[in-house]
Amino acid sequence: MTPQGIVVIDLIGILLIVLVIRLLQKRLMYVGYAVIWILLILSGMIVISIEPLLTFVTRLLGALIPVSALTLAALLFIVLALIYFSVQLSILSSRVTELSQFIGINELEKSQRDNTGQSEEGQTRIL
Amino acid sequence: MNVLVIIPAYNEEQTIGEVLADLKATAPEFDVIVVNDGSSDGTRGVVSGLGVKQIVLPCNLGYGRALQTGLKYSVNRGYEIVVFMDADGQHEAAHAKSLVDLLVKEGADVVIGSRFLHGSRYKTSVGRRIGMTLFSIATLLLTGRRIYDTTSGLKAMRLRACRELLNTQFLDLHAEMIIYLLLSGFDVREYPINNVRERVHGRSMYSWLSHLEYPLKLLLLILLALIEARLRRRDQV
Repeated sequence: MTPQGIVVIDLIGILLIVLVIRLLQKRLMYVGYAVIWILLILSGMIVISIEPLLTFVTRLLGALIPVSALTLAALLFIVLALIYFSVQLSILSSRVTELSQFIGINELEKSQRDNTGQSEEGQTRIL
Repeated sequence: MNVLVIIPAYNEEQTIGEVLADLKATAPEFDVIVVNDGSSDGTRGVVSGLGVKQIVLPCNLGYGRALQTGLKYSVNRGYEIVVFMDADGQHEAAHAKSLVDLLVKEGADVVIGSRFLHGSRYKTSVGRRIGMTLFSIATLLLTGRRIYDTTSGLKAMRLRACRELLNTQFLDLHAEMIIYLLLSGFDVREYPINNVRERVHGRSMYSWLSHLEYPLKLLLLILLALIEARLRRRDQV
């Protein structure tokens, strides 16, 4: 990686971290996800900036040149992130379902109890 | 025997009244619950106006989850028999009554109202017919039992089958449910229903996109049903 390339990537990384922090400030991102993103951006910046580390990662992934290794790592991360977010969405979807069902059934039972109460009250009055 | 008829409804203001009136006239001994799946039309008002109980879901969860809501309610309340019926006016209350009679008489766990058994003359699109046939064949291959109408919205089942279904994943209580229950040792049967009407008002819940998505989801859930039924059998041994 050329020094110019390292500077450009580090600058992009810093901008992304600022973006994540701004989203956190505006409550558009949950703190747990913000931590994951910041750690990932920082680790990417560190790997790219330290030459021996980049060479090690390239060898580890069996790539010939660092660019291929970085592309492969990025792709792997994107796939893992998508699976993770699918799981999170499914969990949230299940929670919405359970909550909606609970509200629906509860409302019905409440109105039935109210009706029974009213009719019992009415009967007491008549008696 | 206490029987609950579960009717999932999404924007069915034009047909639900007729369905409920038919049930009231033909099977007054059955309890009826409408699961109003976040309808944005006047379904809620029509059902309330007829004095029928309804579970109003705050948002649209989809057909399968509306059925699941009804199942949860029936199991909580301890109903011995549950009947599922569509709100679009396809089924007659007399059919529901026949299914319950058969369930009681024959001692089956589930009875499906079949549109394709013994001369029933229900017409549908070629695409849907092919899909239905393929899932019917899949049921035969996997369970050894041929169920001709795996997508029928009219079915009756006993409490123990309902309990079992609440512990499994299902899509719309179609082939995946039938395969799971058959492999788990439940007695699932079909009963021919005639005079099934085509939907006149409203729209079908299956869009063109869901025609592509639905078979894939169903295949995956059938695979899951096979695994779960096998695990269930192993636990029993």
